[in-house]
Formats: sequence, structure tokens, C-alpha cells
Amino acid sequence: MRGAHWLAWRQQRTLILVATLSLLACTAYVWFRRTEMLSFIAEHHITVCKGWNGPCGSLFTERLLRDNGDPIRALATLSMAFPALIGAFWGAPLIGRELESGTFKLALTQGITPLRWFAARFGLAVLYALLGSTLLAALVAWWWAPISNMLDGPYWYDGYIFNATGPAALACALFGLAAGTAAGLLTRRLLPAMGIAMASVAAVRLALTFVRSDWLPPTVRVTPGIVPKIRVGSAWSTGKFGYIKPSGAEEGVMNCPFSGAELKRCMAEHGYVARFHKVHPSSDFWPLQWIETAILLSLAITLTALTVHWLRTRHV
Amino acid sequence: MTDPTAPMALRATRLGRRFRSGWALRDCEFELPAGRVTALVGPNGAGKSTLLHLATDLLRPTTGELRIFGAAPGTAEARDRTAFLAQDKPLYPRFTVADTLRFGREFNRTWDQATAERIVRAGGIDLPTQVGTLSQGQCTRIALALALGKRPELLLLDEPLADLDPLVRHEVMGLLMAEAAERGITVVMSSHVLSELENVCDYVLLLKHGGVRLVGDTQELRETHALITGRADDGADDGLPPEVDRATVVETALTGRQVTALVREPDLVDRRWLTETPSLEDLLLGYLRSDARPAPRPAHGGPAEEAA
Repeated sequence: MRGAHWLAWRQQRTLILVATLSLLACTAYVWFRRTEMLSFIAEHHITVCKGWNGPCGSLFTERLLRDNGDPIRALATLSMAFPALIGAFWGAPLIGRELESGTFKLALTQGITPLRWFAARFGLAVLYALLGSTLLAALVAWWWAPISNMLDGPYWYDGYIFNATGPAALACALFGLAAGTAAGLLTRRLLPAMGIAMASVAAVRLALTFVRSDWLPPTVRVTPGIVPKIRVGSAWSTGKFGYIKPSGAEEGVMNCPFSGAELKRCMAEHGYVARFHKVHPSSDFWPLQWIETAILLSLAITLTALTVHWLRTRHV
Repeated sequence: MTDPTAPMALRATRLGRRFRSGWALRDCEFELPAGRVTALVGPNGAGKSTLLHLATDLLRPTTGELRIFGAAPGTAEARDRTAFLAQDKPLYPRFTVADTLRFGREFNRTWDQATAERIVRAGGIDLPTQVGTLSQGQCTRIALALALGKRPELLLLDEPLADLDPLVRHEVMGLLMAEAAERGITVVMSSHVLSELENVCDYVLLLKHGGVRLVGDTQELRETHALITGRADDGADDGLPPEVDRATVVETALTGRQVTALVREPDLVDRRWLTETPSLEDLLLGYLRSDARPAPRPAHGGPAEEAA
């Protein structure tokens, strides 16, 4: 390795070593636990069904989900926290520590432009942020997939799964890195920059989770008369149920009792012809992931562009 | 004063730099010739560090420009020719000495590993040592090895001797001057220790309140000034004889009945006055103490009050 790439490696090798060992440990653990889970499913001939009211509940499924649900959530929490960790421990020191300790004066008065100095080090960090977040996201998805959206297990729309897997998890890692780097440049101090990096990842994540269901219009599931409603399955219920009049008007679910002869009579009384349930089917996972990926990537690119701009027109 | 055809290591034209707190440097015009050892002198906050940061492109000027051998700071040409030793001597604490030298090698086309290693070894420092475990004097040595290993034509040093004990100070200065002389490096060194500049500097740039107060060859400056001492003249507020042109008086100090003054281009031949060539320290102190105005001012107090 030469020049700025050597410096990038020399400065980040401890981080890379620690991160690699942790990720390898995670991989080994997941591989072991998933193998165990699959043999448990095979051994007890467990059929996998979707939805909280899926027709496959048994003592064995209960144990399957009890044994794997929480560890999957724990791994997912690590994957969710990864962008904040990248921002605080990789992004914030990138420029923040150099400004705090004065070593930027050493680096920037050699025969190298500030831009190349930044690009090589930031580039290695980007590479590792992508590798790490991809691996974690893949591990969560891999372990979770055989028991996905099942009974009281983790669902695709749970924060644990949605935020910890998919392309948005990768984009979020890049956002965390860019936020930490920019914070280091602005605050010129490591600790405040670390705090800002973590806080900004948490804030953006919370905001995105809060508005997630609003990006796409829900799918309306209509069942005529008192034909049994479609089971919720893997879909994400919006909690909006009701009755439909011949005109197509929707009315609230509280107007009638839930089932049986009474329901039939009540529907006839009100002139309801069908029942509806608004849900986000599990196929919405991908469009929602791409929307959040686009948002997080734009934020990451904007912050990086600002960082580069500040470096070029700096007033150190 | 200086040969106009001689190459200029540093040239400032209407150079100014403003911070939020005000102007650190304003309308500075000066030239520092190549091959000289220039003392950059001035009280705290005079703009010395700002000037050195402008020369290394760590700062950009607000007005005017600075040129290093004709090139703008930050260009590849200026970068290759300039080495800088910052006041806090920053080094990567977790690097070994060998890593630190490799850092210099990776980033400089003109790197001289042999010189850098020689400087490090002369201080009894082993290459595998971690920089964070070294003493302050040893760190200065490493920082100097890094700066000199670059084989610069212009070496900028910001308070290189501050925080060093007298022994190390002497050692570092000796090392620095030997290397500079051997390779004809232009050195610009800011310092508070005026007495130590006397033997090493042959050029001086004095900044005060963000402006240039004095610039030139030390020998020439000394010869064109005089320190005159005599019995105070009762006829004048400042105690100086009436024939002294007040516009040439840099500074006066009245002690009891005796008056001492630093005078520019003196033509005083009064036998009652003792005239001597000022030392560089006398000269610098005179200009450091005197107000920014070139006109004389009444001296009310003794030296103690003046220095305060």
C-alpha cells in the first residue's frame, strides 16, 4: 500500500481488526443457531405458517419462536445500532480527532492535497461500513427467513427486522459515517462529534420509522357479505377495518358485532354489502426499503459533499 | 536593502487575515530572501502563527496574497518545497517512530530516509518506539526529523523551542542550524526567546498588532540604529537633547537622571552621549516595547513600567 492508502490502513487497522473479529463471531454464532433451528423444525415436522393467527400453532412452534425470536431481535438490534457505531467510532475520529490533536497540521503540510488525504481515509471507512452492514443485514435476514412473519415471532414490518435488514440498513451505515465525519469537522472535537453522530442516526431512524406506513397507500382487502375475512398472514395491518355500503362508502368497524348471526342481521340493517381491511402486504417491504434507501443515501451524499466543500474552502 | 534579483522565499502583498475576533494580520507587505534564517518576532497575538499557517495553506488569506518561491501555498510546488513544524509538534501518538518516518516517506516525493533516521538515532531514539511514550524533547526531534527528511527549501518553525528544557533547547537548535546550513535551507522561525535568536538569525521580521513593524537584515538593522545613553536633558519631556530628530526615536527609557534611547539612523555626535550599536535583542526589545506609531512619545516611566 502506498501514500494515502497506507495512512488510511495504518490509522484504521485496529478498528478493522476489532470489527472483523466481532463480525466473524456473529457469523459463527448465527450459523450455529440457524443450523440448530432448522434441525428443530425438521425433527418435529413443524409446518411454517404466516400471521399471528396462522393455523400452525403448537407447543413446538411456541418453543421454536421462544428460542429464536429474542436472539434474532438481539442480532437485529446490533445491526440497527451498527450505523450509530460506525458514525461514532469511525466517522467522528476521521477528521474530529485530527483537528482536536492538531495532527491535521502534520498531514496537511505534507506533499498531499487535503482532498486526497480525506478521500483515501473516508473511502476505506465507506468500504468497511458497507461490508459490515451488508454482512449484519444478511445474517439477520438469513436467520429470520425460515420463521419469518410467523405467529408471535418477528415480522417484516417490526422495527427490528425492517431497520436491520435490506438496502436501507446499508444506506443508514453510510449516513452514520457521513454524519460522524461532518460532525467531527464542525465540532473539531471527538467526544461531541461522537454524540452528534449517534444522536443523528437515532433521530433519522425514529423519524423514518414514524412515517414509514405513510409512504405507500395500503391495499384494501374486501370480503363480500359475511364470508370469513382473509387471514392477515404476512401483511402489516393498518388497523383500519370496516363495512362497505353499496355506494362504496366505508364505515367504521364498531357499528356491528364481530361475528355470527348478530353480525349478519346488523349488516343487513345498515345495508352493508362487504367488509374491508386495509393492510400493507409483505411485498411492500421492497418499495419501502428503496424509498428509505434513497432518503438515507441522499442525506449521506449531501453531508459528504458539505464535508468536502468545507475541507476545500476551510478556515482551520 | 536586499538585492532585488535574489530569489524571495516568502513574499507578502497586502496580506490580511481576519478572524471572528478581528484582524490577526492586516496589510502586510514584506519579502524574506532565500537562504536566510529569519526570526519571526512579536508579542502574543501579533499574528506570527497566523502568518505561518497562511504560508502552509492551513489558512487562506482574507485579503492579498502570500507567495513561496513565487508559488501559492497549497500548490504542489509550494507543498514540495515547504516543511512546517507546528507549535504543538503534533505527531500520531499510536504510531511507532518507524511508522512516523514512513508517513513522511509516503507523502513526500523528495523524502530523505537516511537523514531522517540519522536525526532520530542521534537522539538515542529507537525506531520501534511508540511516539506516545516519548518525552517532549524527543517528540520535537521526531517532528524535526520529519520536517528535515522532506528536504525542504523553506522550513517554517512555530516556536520550536517552547516547552523544552535548556539542554534540549541547545541540542535542538544546534541540530537545526547544522542541517539548515549544510543544505542552504531558508528558515523562518518564530520565537519568544530573543537572546537565542541573536546567534542564529541573520534576518528579522517583527510583527505587532497584525502589522509589519520591522523587517530586514539583522546586521544592517543593527548598524542603522544606535543605543544612546546619557544624562537626561532637563529641557525635554523625554530627556533627549533637542538636536535629536524625534521622528527617528524608536524608544526611550528614563531611569532616574539617565536616559537610554534606541534611535534610527543617528547623527548625534554629542560627546556627552554614549553611542553604541544595539544588540539584536536590544533592537527587538526596543521595537516590541515602542508603540505602533513611528513618532516618539514621552517616556514617563522607567523600564519596569515600560516592560509591563
